[in-house]
Amino acid sequence: MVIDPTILMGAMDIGTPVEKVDNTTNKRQSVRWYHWLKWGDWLIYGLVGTLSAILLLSSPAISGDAASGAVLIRDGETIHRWSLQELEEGGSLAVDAHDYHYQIDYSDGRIRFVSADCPDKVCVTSGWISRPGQIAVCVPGHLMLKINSDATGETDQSEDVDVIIK
Amino acid sequence: MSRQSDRIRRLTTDALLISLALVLSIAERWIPLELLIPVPGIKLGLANIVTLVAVLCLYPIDAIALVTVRSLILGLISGLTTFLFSLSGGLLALMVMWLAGKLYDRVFSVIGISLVGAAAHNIGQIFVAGFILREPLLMTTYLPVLLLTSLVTGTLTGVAALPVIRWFTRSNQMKAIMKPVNPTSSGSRPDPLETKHPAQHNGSDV
Repeated sequence: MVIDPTILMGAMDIGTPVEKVDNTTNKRQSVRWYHWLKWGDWLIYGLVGTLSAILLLSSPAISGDAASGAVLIRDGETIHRWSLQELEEGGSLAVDAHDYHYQIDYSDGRIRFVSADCPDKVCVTSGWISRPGQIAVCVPGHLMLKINSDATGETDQSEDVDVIIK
Repeated sequence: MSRQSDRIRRLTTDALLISLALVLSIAERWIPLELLIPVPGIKLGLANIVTLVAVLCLYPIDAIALVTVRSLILGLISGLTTFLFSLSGGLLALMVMWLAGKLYDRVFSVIGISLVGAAAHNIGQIFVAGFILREPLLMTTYLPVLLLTSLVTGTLTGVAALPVIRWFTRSNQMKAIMKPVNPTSSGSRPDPLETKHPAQHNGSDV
């Protein structure tokens, strides 16, 4: 879904309840929300914007690596691993974690939490993920679904020796 | 602060603000903000309005009590993770807003303090989420998106807090329970809705 910036701009203009009368010209002028800002506020906009832009550009989700599969992690341990072929073939998996029950679906190289009985359902609203570095998390169930690229897949396997022996 | 009527006023004001924060925290779950900004777990942070008012108008101890009790009650309603989320984000936001509040009216307006509070709230929550999931990578993948959205939600909550703070600064009844005026400011309480309008800047009037 694409965000229409005019919607946000329109929402910002809700905060214009004040009208001022200019003494010299006797013209009524509405006060816009940005007229309340002081120089420190603009500094915050700039700093936070720059910081998140730098973090965003350095995050693996942006990198062009090809996906090599997906992993399901509970409490920091990998409990299930999908290869790219399995993700393409499709299927589903039921998982229990910390008294909550989850249904995970995968098809066409994508994977998602399709249903969950956790309180906030952030994992389900995350929707399909398919690009390396993308994640879908459920904090109440301590669960994380993650797409691996070739680079991150290698480091995961060297940590998780059981998988190689098997 | 020593008069009994002031103590009662302080208690009832804090209690009212706590219930207001609770209602706002619960009501914002019904707003499907994900449809407008497709980021999972994104919230407006309406309860931040109450924290903002408490930081700028009340004594720090009232603000700390407000955030802690709000998180406790919210945790009783919806579980341990919600409690940890609410407390970590709330206390970090409170601390940062209190520090920024020292520069209120000189450097930052109410909106700027709301912005740093919203950003700190998100950072605190990501820390707890990363700790629970044992995934430090969450910091780099998820935080920048949340920080960008916090610029929008922080502005909205800041604007929403403006008339409430103006009401507090003009109220005679609340004078006794409000924190003293910042010694660095001009002496009187700043009106948050007062602007230096561009048109008046250029004019010949004072």
